[in-house]
Order: sequence, then C-alpha cells, then structure tokens
Amino acid sequence: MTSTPLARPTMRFSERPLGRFWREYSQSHAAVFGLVMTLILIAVAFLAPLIAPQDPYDLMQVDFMDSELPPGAIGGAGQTYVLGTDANGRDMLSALLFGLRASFMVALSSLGIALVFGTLMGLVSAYAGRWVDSLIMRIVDIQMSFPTILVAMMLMVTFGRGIDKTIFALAVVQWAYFARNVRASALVERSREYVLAAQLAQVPTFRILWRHILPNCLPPLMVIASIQLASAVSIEASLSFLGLGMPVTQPSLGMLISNGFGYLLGGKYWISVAPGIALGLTVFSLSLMSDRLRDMFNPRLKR
Amino acid sequence: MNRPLLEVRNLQTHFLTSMGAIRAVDDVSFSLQRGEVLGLVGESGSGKTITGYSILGVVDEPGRIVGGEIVLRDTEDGEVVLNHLGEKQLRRLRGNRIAMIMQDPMMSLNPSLRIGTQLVETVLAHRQASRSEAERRAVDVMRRVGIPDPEQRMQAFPHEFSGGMRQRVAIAIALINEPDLIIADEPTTALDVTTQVQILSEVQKLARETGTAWIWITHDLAVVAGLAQHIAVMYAGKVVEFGATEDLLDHPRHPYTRGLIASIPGEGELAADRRLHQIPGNTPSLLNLPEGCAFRTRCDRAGAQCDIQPMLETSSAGDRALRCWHPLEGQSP
Amino acid sequence: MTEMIIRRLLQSVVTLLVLSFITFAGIYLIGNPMEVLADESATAAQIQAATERLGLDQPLWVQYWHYMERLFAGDFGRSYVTSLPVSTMILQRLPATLEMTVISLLISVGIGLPLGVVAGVFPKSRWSRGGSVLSVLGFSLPNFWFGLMLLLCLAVWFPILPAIGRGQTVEVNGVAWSFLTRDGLAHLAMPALTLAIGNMALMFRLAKSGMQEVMLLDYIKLARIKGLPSRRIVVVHALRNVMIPIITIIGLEIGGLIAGSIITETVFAWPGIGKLLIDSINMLDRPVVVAYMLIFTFTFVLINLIVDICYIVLDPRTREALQG
Repeated sequence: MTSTPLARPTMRFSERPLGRFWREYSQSHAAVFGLVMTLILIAVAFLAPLIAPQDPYDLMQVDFMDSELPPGAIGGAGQTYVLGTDANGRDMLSALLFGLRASFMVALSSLGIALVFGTLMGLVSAYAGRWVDSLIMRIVDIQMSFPTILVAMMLMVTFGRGIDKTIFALAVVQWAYFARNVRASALVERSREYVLAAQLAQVPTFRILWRHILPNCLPPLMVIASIQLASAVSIEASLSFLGLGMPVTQPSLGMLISNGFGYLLGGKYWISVAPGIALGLTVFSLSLMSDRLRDMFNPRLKR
Repeated sequence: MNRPLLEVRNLQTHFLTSMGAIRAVDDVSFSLQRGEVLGLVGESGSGKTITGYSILGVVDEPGRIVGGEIVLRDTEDGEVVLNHLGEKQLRRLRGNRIAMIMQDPMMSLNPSLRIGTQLVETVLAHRQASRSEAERRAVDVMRRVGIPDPEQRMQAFPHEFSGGMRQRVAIAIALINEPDLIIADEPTTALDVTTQVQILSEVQKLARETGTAWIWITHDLAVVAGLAQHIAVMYAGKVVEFGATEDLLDHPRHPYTRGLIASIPGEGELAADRRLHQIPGNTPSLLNLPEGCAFRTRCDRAGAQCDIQPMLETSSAGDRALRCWHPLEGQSP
Repeated sequence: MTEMIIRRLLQSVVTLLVLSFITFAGIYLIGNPMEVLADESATAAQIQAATERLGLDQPLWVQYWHYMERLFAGDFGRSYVTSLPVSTMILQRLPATLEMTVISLLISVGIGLPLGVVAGVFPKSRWSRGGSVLSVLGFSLPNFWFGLMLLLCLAVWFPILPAIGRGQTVEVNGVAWSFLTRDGLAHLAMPALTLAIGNMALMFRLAKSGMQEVMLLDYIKLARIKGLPSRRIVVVHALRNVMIPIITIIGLEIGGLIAGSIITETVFAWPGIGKLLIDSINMLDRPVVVAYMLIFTFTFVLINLIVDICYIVLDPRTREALQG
C-alpha cells in the first residue's frame, strides 16, 4: 500500500475540459461569490455612463446646492441621492460608478501591458540564456524585492500624475512577476522531448515558442494575472489616495475616498465610505478568485 | 498454544472521499504470537501500510476504521481493543508497546532535529526518566542496531547520515522502548541491496534476542520467506491467504499467492532455464473494484461463482486461512 | 561560507550604487527645482546664479558625484522649503515611524502566527476556513482602506480612540516616544493596527499553509507513531521547520512595513518620516525626497543582506554543505 491512496490522476490543465475546471473551481463557495461579484462589478463599471443617474463630471448636471447630503436625501430637483452627495453636490452613486470604471480601466490596461511585456521578457530570458538571462533576472529580483507601492510611488513622483503615467507605473511594477513565471515554465517546457524533437525538425524558434511553449505557460500566467489584477486595483487606489495617481478630472475609487476623507471626522462619512466599500468589494472579489485559482494550480495542496 | 499478542479481526479502514468510499483495508484478519514475525505481503496499493497505520490508530483523514477489532494482549492476559481506545490512551501505547518503522528513511526523520533528540524524546514521552538516563538508553540502542560511534552521532542531524544509517536510526527509535510489537513497513526497499541484506540479518538477530513480535510489511515474498513464521497475503484490501511460512510457500492454495511465488527468481537455477512468471494485468483501482473476488479479472481459474465475494475460510486446525472459490490442490482446509 | 558572504556583500554594494544613481537621476533631475526655489519676481539672471550656486547646471554624473561626496560626510543637503538640514528633519521624525512600525510588527506576528499555526493543524475546521477567507481580505486590500474603516468605526461611530496625531509623548534622552504614555498608546493603537493587518494576514497564510504541508510529511507521522504528545509534535517537530522561511519573510516584510507606514501616517496624520515624504512630495521638496529614498534603499538592501547571511549561517543543511 503506498501512502497516497487518494492521488488523483494528474492531467495537464490544457487537457481538461471547461466543465471539469468549473466543477473544481466551484467547490469553494467563496470563490464562486468572488467570480459573480467581479462580473457584476465589471459590467456595472463599463455600463456606468448608461446607468449612472448623472454624469458627475458634467458641471451642468451637478447642483452645488445639493452638496454634502446624506444617503437617501432628496435633491433640489426632486431626485433621490441614494448614496448622498459629495462636497460639490455630486451624486455619490454616479461618482462611484465612474470611479469604478476608472479603476478597472487603469488596472486592466496596466495588466495587459505588463502581461505582454513580462511574457516577452520571460521568453527572451529563457531562450537567450547567458548574460541576457542573468541581466533580466537580476532586474526582476531587485524589483521584486522592493515593496511595489514604493516603486510605483517613486515613478509617479518622477513623472507626475496622469492616467497614462499611472498605467505605466502599474505596468512597471507588475511585469516582473510575469517574466519570472513565464521564464520558469518556459525553461521546464524547453527541455521536454517534444520541444527537442521540434527543434530537430527545424521548426522555427518563433513557432516553437508560440505553438508549444506559450500554451504551457498559460495556467501559471492565468493565476498571476488574477492576482495582479487585484493588486493593480489596490495599488492604484493607494496612489490616488496619496494624490499621486489619477488626475483630478478622472477620479478613481482611491481618489474619491481621499476626497471624502477630510469630511469623515466631521461625521459626513458617506463621501468616502461608499467608494471605500466599493473598493473593498472589488479587491476582495478579485482576490477570492485568484486565491482559488492559485490553490487549484498548486500541486502540493492536491491530496 | 498461548493466546496471541495481537489479533486483527475483520478490520475495515475506509477513506471517505467525495468520489466515494475507498476501501483501503476491507476485511483483514490475522493473529500474531509474542516474539513471532508475521509477513504481510501484497502489491503496492493492497492495503498493507494502512493496516499498519490502523493498528497504531494513525490513519489520516478522511480515512477511518469503520469496522472490526484490533485486540492487543499483555502478559497478564489483560486485553485492550485498540480501535476502541481514546486518542490519549492510544498515544501511551504508541512508540511504547507498539512501534513502527516507516518505509522511507530519508523522509521519516525530522531534518531540523538532532538524532539524539529524536531518540531521547521517544523515551521521555513514555517514562519518567531523567535526560541522562534517556540518553544512555539512546546510545545503547544505537550501538545495538550497528551505528558506530553512537555518542558522537547523537549530535548529528539526519542529513549527515546515509540512507542505511538513517534506517538504522529509525529501527533504533522503534526498539528504544522495548515494545511488544514492531510494525516494519518495507524498511529496506529504499536501500541498496547490500545494505538491505545487512539490515535484514541484523533485524533477524534482534527479533530472536528481544522477544518482540514483528509485522513485516513487504511486496517481496522472498524477503519474508527467511524471516517470518507466518505469512498473510493481501490483495486489494483483503487478506486472501494466511498460513505458516513453509506450508504457504510449498503449498500455495490461492492463485494469487502462487503467482507471487512464481515471480520470485529461483535459487541455483539458470536464468535462461526458467522464465520468471508474471501475473497478468494490474492491481485494480480501489475506487471501482469489481463485484465479487477482486482478483478474478487476472485469475486463470476464475469462474461464474467468482462474481460473488468469497469469505475467508479458516482451516479446522486454525493455522491456515483462504479466500477463494477455486483453490489450488493441496491438503484440504 | 566566508566567500559566499563576501560575494553577497559585494552584490549588495553594487545594487546599492545602481539604485542610488537611478533614484538620484529619477527624482533630482526631472523637472526644474528652480520653479520651487525661486520666487515669482526673480529675474532670469538671479535664477541663473542660483542654478550655478546649487550646481544644477552640471552634468548628471557630476551632480551625483558631488551629492554622494557630501552624503559620505553625513550631509544630506538642506530642505528647499524649510532650509533645515534634511538629516535633522528625518531624525526628528524617525522615532514616530519606528515605534509605530515595531508595534505593528509585534501585533502582526503575535496574532497572525499563532492563529495560522492552529489553522494549519486543523485545516478542515470552520474557523480555519473562515480565517483563510478573512486573510484574503487582509492580504489584498490596501492599508489605507483599513485605516478608513477603523477611523469610521472607532473614531466616528463609536468614538473610543483618538483619530489623529501622536498624543502625549515622553522624552527619553531627548527623543520623544508615544508608547510610554497611556494617551500616546491610545493614539498609536489605530495606526499600528492598520499597518499590522496586511502583515497579520500574510503571517496567518504562511503559517497555515506551512503547517498544513508539514503536517502531512512522514516525519510528523513518525512523531505520532512514537507517541509524542501533540503539543510537542506541533511546536517542536512541525513549527520548527515552518519557522525558517517565515523568519526570512518577517525580515523582508520590514521593508513593506516602512512603505506601508507612508500611507498609514498620511491617514492618521502621524508625524513620522512617511508623512514627511508625502508632504515633501507635495511641496516638491526634492532633497528630502531623495534623502528618504536613499535611506530607504540602504535600509532595504541591508535588511536583505542580513536575512541572506542569517540564512546561510543558520540553516544546518547549507552550513554543512558549505563546510563539507
């Protein structure tokens, strides 16, 4: 009798049909909640211009007389402010939806850039080897050893605030995770027999990378991407909270919280708490998802 | 005949998983006299190790003993049913009256604790001894299992030992409290052949000297042939045949036992003269065992009756047991 | 072993030099500090003269060289805004950050670690599962979020703790500390807790997953088979093997704590060096920002070095491998 009577048959992820994937994923109720919440939040964020009661950045629609109203208050024009209004009379619900949109937009764009760049660097590192490999990995090591928030802050200090700069800074602090993991998976795949066979058959390197190596790097990439999405939203919020991130004209959740912060101790808590709860829910949902994915791909926990 | 030291009756240990119950041990019975060596033989996955863990009460979740009795007697004929004991009482017996040597000596010693500590704590967990007394005992037992320079080696960490030396340490840990029973789970399979032979002969000597009973778990019938007085053959969680070693080897009655014996390379025969016999097919998965006799898919004697699970029938003399509808010729049970 | 340590040391020095140059170049040279320094009525000639006096017209590497020269003499330059020596400003603010960071580290390790160990020993229990879900929350949300929620609960809705500042302090050898007075401790509570939550979640997760994996290993099984009391199995056999990586991470997390203190101090108006950094960034006071960054980089590289050396020295396996 071996000591692992329960070992499940191990199959590559890519061979598993989606159904199996879902069955395993949905074993965690928290993870299902995370996924559903994430989908709702993303949908709501991107539909913001359609479903928000007002455009909070169109001065014509904002009534300054309605400033600092508590949740549920009736405005001057007879409209109900479900989540109250901020110091400028903006409907918090609308501001929140647009803020969510800004947060997701920045996080997803930076994630995309970091994913592509990091994957590229990881493949280059694994395939070029020698000094190219050690240089790239050295940079990755140093960068990963520093707290991401600090690196992002310094980039923002250097280049100034703005959407593009925030996206850039977030991409810079994230690419290293992708590069390191892609390199690791690529090195493993590279030494497999089918790759050696493809090389012998003189299949072009690019084709080997694209058809053989990359697909096998996907499961870890998926896990990292899900972790990084939560982290990107969170870091962007911190930057904007410190006044180093998004511009005033395009506030994200972090900046909305920061804007309302001065009113918190005065008892007008809703101005920062509403976007605070939205941020909490977003990051929490994303993390529940990534946590589940990580557990699923961690062979050591498979027992 | 004395009443046996250990009696396992109809033991059932199942793993209750989301994919259904895995019957790792399903109706296992055997008994063992004081000072006797019992060989527990079977392929990997046949439930040998889990039987050992069940006796000690250390089966991990989701495994659980769901049926049967494990009875341990002491010299005064008092008896305890191990699987009815609470964790606290069981703990007092483990490492004290029943010890176990695990399969892989590279994994079973704690890498961050000194060898001496791992021996001494075993003593201190069970008796009121001073540290120096326990250390003296540890040095003594290390010497007995053939570890040179024991006083020095007490200070060493496991990674400083070779595989063979580590297994000697594991044996020393099992011996240190002079238990009534030692369960040895393939303790030599992870070692190279010369070390294997060395350790086996030393264990044989120890078994004679100490009066300790041993359950020697192995997949290799040849190993226990010269070691054990009785042999129990396991297949797919069940004992299929039980008997005195010589009787069982000379007159196997279960087709599976015959297969096992035939797959041992014979002594003094030229390799070219005789082809090693192979049992066709593979061990079935415990998750979807066929109805009836689990061996029937690999058995050349299988018939319609084999769709029904045969019972373990004990001979009238009580020294032979068999679970088969179509046993091989031999003296009738 | 010595060779390994020396190599690691050299590596750190090179890293430090490269990083200091990047920091210097990034912060010191982008944008024109004259926009802050000169008042609006200054003539072009005055600005020119001031630029030359500060050496801002020199090539990048010359400026870097001069800066490093002065740095080694202990001179971090003067603040553009207050005209005080930067070193004085930082030293004055340091104790506040230090006490907050240390207390938060104690909270996170003191609570997160034991809970994680228990959860790892009983991974199937309801508490363990719940703790894991909560730890996701603590782990992934930015710490200003916890600051916000704590403020809301403990200062706005149930005003039991003071919201901002250091409170009453006591001077010991000319250094003011909050943690020595009741009022000071009350002020410290929320910031330290805010800073601790992320780390606490990390400790919980590390301890839990570490214990969970170790408890399945053969040597734990053997410890049970030997009949050891479960307390000894958990504390001596399992925890010891889990602690080595955890101690490494505690060391490395100190950098994260300092970074986190920047945000926490901003939330609670805690007058430490993190608050100083943010204020200086907002006022474009570059000498302070550069000094902070260099000190941080130095501390960080140093901690990494110490952790690595400890690892080399402490781990019996590497130690043996190196000696043999």
